[in-house]
Amino acid sequence: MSKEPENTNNSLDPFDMLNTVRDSTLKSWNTMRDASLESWSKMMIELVNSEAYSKTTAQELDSYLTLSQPLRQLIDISTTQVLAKLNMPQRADVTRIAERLTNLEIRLDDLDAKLDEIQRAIATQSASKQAIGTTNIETRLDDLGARLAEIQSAIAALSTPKHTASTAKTKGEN
Amino acid sequence: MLSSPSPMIPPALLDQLKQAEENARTLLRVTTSRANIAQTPKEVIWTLNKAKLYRYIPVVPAEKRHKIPLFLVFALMNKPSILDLRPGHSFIEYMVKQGYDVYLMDWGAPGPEDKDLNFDDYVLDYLPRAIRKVKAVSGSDEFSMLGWCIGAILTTIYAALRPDSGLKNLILLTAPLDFTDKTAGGFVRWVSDQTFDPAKIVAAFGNVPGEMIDYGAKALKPVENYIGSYLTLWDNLDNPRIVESWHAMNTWVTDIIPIAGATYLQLTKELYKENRLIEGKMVIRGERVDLSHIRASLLNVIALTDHISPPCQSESIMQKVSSTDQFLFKVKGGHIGIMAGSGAQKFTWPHIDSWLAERSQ
Repeated sequence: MSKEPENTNNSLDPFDMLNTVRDSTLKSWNTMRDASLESWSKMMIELVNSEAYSKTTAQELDSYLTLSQPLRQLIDISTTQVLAKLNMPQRADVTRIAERLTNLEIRLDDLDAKLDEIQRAIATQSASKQAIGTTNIETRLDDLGARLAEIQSAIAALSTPKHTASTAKTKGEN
Repeated sequence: MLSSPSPMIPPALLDQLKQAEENARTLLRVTTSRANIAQTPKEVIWTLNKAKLYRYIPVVPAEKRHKIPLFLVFALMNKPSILDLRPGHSFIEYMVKQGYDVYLMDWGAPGPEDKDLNFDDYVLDYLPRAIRKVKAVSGSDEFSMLGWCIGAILTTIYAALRPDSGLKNLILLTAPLDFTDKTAGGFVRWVSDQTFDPAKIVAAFGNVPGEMIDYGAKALKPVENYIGSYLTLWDNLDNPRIVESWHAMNTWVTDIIPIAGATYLQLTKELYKENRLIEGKMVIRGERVDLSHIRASLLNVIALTDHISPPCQSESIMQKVSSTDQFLFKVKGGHIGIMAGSGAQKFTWPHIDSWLAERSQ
């Protein structure tokens, strides 16, 4: 609709002529419409931003609220009475339950957060334990290496002077 | 039906009738159905009362993602789906694709039992818990927070009351914070009138009906909202791009929710009428809200033709905060248009992304 129609009209075709007239009329009507809407819009914006409008709407709202208050009160009282007679929960009861539920949710949320913290702490601790574990293995390997080196040097020292004794000792160690 | 061509009807007329029929169908469809909005994949990771916290499923590998998660807080009236309007035109989808770990707070619709909920509850019960969850899920102790409209009021108060909570970056969009000028914008004028008594409205309705808030917002620009919008649709019925965009926006606009009575009372009385926040007189559960406590990097996005939160309501926060890293970004457009309009994707979103990206490492 916003697109300009392609100019493929045959000027001798009465239908096309009608179309051309319609399109140009529509275009000028749209221009007029947009211009009037724009001025109308400006006028309305000025109006709603005026003090007179603020005062009028505030007064109207105030009178509506004042006048409708007795009726609302009447409806509230009668609804409460009917619900009480029917042994049904009233608005206040539902509100109380909702409040308690929200309080429970808050407590659950705090518990959830604490569990998250504990989980994180355990993860950190196990990671550090793992790191400690790896260090232990390395230390033990170092110890073993040192002890093996000691044994090796002892064997070497023994094997040189007494051949028989060294053989016996080696067998005993095995 | 015009499916079988008649030899009596000229082909050109037949084409036009077909087009008219198609337009009528389109008009009926978009004015009577709901568009599929808020389609970006997400999961609920936390709930409290009616509030839900969503985490959007990341599409960027973890190693390429920004380290600091982004937490979005929308207004209390209207649904946050405006941030995820439709595929291909969604701020959330865009930010997820840019590598952010995105979280969104959906406040939900308050029921009659929630009429006493106020800013104190939202700021000190809901936000800290949701943020705790964001931190736990993201594994980051720091976070960025974006607040829009009343969401910006909530995030500002939170940032002032809990400056050491890990808030690294604060983004405010069209934030109504300073009501010194009682002639700037219709809302301030209306509620500043001596006869206007918000307590009476709350006493009558409990929660303020969504229809009433919707009327208030639309009445600020009555011709555009009640007539202009439908004329735009009528003029573009043969343009699928505009029609689908209109359908999605109309779905969001008509999805109205009430605002909790106590919150409305606080908003109109303490903020709009008494201007307590910017004057440093607002007290939330016994704690004074001191805006100078805000130290997070601040990006303040202002819509130059905003008729709901005029620029003068959002600018002065820059002088009140202690943030050394702050930037005021003025965008041509209206309250909603700067984030959901056709130019948002080319201008506002990339700007927010580029500002945030270098502060999310």
